[in-house]
Amino acid sequence: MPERRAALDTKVLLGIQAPVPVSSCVEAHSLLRHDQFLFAAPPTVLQELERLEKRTEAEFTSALAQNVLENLPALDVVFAKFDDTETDVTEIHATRVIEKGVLSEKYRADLSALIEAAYMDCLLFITTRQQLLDKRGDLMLALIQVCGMSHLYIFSPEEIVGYYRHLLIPPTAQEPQRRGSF
Amino acid sequence: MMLHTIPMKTEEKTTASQEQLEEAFRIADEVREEVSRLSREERANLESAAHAVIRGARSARATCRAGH
Repeated sequence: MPERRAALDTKVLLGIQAPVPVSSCVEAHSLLRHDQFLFAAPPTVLQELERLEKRTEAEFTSALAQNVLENLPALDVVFAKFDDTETDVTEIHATRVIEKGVLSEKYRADLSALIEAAYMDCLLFITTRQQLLDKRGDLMLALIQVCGMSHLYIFSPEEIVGYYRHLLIPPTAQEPQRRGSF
Repeated sequence: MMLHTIPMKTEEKTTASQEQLEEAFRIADEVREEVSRLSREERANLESAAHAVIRGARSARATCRAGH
């Protein structure tokens, strides 16, 4: 099976590192890992984790961000350093998507993370950011049409868990059998 | 673009309460907006520092393994 990669957004990584009962982040990560996915942290996510680590006034958050960074390899997360050209292209693409009105300037960092994930050949972008989830149809088309990038599917951790749970439930006689994978 | 991965499987979780994680999420939302306002140089510095933390952890773990 070819290598498949899922990009993890900042809050998803924090949720994986600090499991609490109501969070689906750990379960989504485990299910995707079991389905042979590797994971990626886009440069914007690494920058945010480092910025969080420097927030020493928020002691827990700072320690959590540091733990995430130190634990990335153990979570099967790869990361990339973009060169100047790749950073330029990411910025140009983000500007074009903003000009198209898909998202406003306020969400430039969200767009950067998304475009970087597409650059890193990720198939999935797992995020809890509601504005990305709400606009995912337009964003996925913008990545293809405006940026000329390959497709990238945007899901929340809950949706990933829901999808795999559905696969594990035996189909009833009334329900058509659905088996498959991303 | 060069991808980096380090094959180490010692996965350690951080103990947290729901309130602590929600607070971390709130600050992460703030940081997302902050980062988009930073200059390219500042972002590059942050990224380099993040890579240094990852390398530091790798080095510490390798030393720990060698010690055993």
